Amino acid sequence: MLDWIDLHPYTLLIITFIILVSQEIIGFIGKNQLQEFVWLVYVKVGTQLSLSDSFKLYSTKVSEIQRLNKEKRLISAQDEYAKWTKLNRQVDKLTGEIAQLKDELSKNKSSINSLVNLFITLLTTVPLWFFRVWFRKSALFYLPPHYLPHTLEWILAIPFFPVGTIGLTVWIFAVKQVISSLVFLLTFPFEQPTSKPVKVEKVVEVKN
Amino acid sequence: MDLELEPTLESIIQQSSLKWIFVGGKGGVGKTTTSSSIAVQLALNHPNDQFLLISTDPAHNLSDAFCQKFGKDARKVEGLENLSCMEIDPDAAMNDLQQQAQQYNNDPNDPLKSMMQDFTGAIPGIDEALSFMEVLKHIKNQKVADGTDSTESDKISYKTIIFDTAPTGHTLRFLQLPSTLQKLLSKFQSLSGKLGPMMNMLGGAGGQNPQEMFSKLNELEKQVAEVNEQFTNPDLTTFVCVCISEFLSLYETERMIQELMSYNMDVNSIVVNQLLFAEDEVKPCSRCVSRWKMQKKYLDQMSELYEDYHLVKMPLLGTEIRGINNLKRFSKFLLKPYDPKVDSSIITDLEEK
Repeated sequence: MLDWIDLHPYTLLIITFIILVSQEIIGFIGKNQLQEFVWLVYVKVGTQLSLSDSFKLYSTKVSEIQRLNKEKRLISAQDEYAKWTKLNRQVDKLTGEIAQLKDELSKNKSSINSLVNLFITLLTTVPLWFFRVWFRKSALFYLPPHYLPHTLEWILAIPFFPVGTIGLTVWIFAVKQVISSLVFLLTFPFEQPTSKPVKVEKVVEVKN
Repeated sequence: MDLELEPTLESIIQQSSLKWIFVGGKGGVGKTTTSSSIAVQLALNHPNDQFLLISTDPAHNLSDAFCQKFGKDARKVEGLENLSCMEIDPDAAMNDLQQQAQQYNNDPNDPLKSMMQDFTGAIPGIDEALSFMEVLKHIKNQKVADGTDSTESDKISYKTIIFDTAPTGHTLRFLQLPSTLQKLLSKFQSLSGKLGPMMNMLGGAGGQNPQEMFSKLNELEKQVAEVNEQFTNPDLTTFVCVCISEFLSLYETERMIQELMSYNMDVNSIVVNQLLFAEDEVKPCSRCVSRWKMQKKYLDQMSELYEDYHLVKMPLLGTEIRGINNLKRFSKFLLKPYDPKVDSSIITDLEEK
């Protein structure tokens, strides 16, 4: 059972590395941006495949209400009361419909957001935890014998790895360190210098 | 469809199934006169039935309209045996209720006391609902009193009850209450399931515990739902809008009609008051003529807008319409449209009171 999970140490090494890098990239782009992007794609593709016409309906209704309001502003309410009131009725009706559509859309959006969240978690967090548990005793690679003092090797092998090996825990830690240092090195030249705070001189009022 | 509805209230007056007639509109458009006229016509047309006219306006003017003092209890109109009137202040009922609650719980430091008040205060339409329920209870009490008073045969003493509603606020806002209340109650109930023990601990010493309060709210919701069912049935209830032929009045009427329709209430009549009908006068005054022109402009717009409504046009008279005889004369025009050529004598002919 579960033989297929018996990965080669190097495969594990590389998969972990890729996952960590993608984690970092997602963090760099930002979850919200991703959700926004997926939402836009959904709206575009969904409208084209006519999965959700509510968005199209929404935009036509909004433009309709703008047109009506414009028309309403052009006529005098007192001189053309009947026409104005009829426009008003239409506007009221449309406003109600738009509110309903908005509700529907925001519900849609939140469900898509949670879907994106789930996807990200499944892709980046869950496999790492799984690996950490499943391969808690498998060595990724070996240190040369007596390369480090025994105490240090023992510490590196915490919690369950054989002494003298590098396990997943240390590997993840190291990769994270390297990536964050790299990111720092790459981004730091482009950082905007923060302006020096100017000390505000206290104005002492002289009483006459 | 070019089906003109007759410009009278005949359908309301003749209809025998109606139980509730509401008369509403902004202040100063002749609500009280119109509601009194409707009541008088109903009473005249169905001499064998009893009718009740209720004013819930704090500024009571039924007494003035009939030149007779009315109070909290129904009293018969002199000169019209089958019509009774009643003036109720709904806010007073509400205040009574609050004072009652304070009697139960007079610990000034009880945190729950103000909390409960805030809870009930925050539900839209609840104060209207409470005061309306109070009014209904009052009417019911009247019936029982009448029933024990005379023979048992006339238990349902009033065939139709006519409401002269207050101009301020949304008199019928409580019609939206059941759905709101249902949502709130289910939330409260889940909350009280979780926090119940704690609330009991806090409120246990005070006397009025939350459970009791929920059951009260539940009861209210049931009552309101019942009333709601009656009020949204067009065979039982109808609403008569009163307005004058001016822009703001029409605007408010339109809003009121939309609101009432959102509560699924039946609205099919609009009474336009204070019309001048100036063109057929023997000696037309120039101001009347030009004002009548303006009124006609709005009347035309109205007939375009409300083509499926009964648009009743009532004339502006020379004096205030007070007293039962004047009301009888004036209310005739609810059934037979006012003809300025034939009926213009009424303008100056009213008895002085």
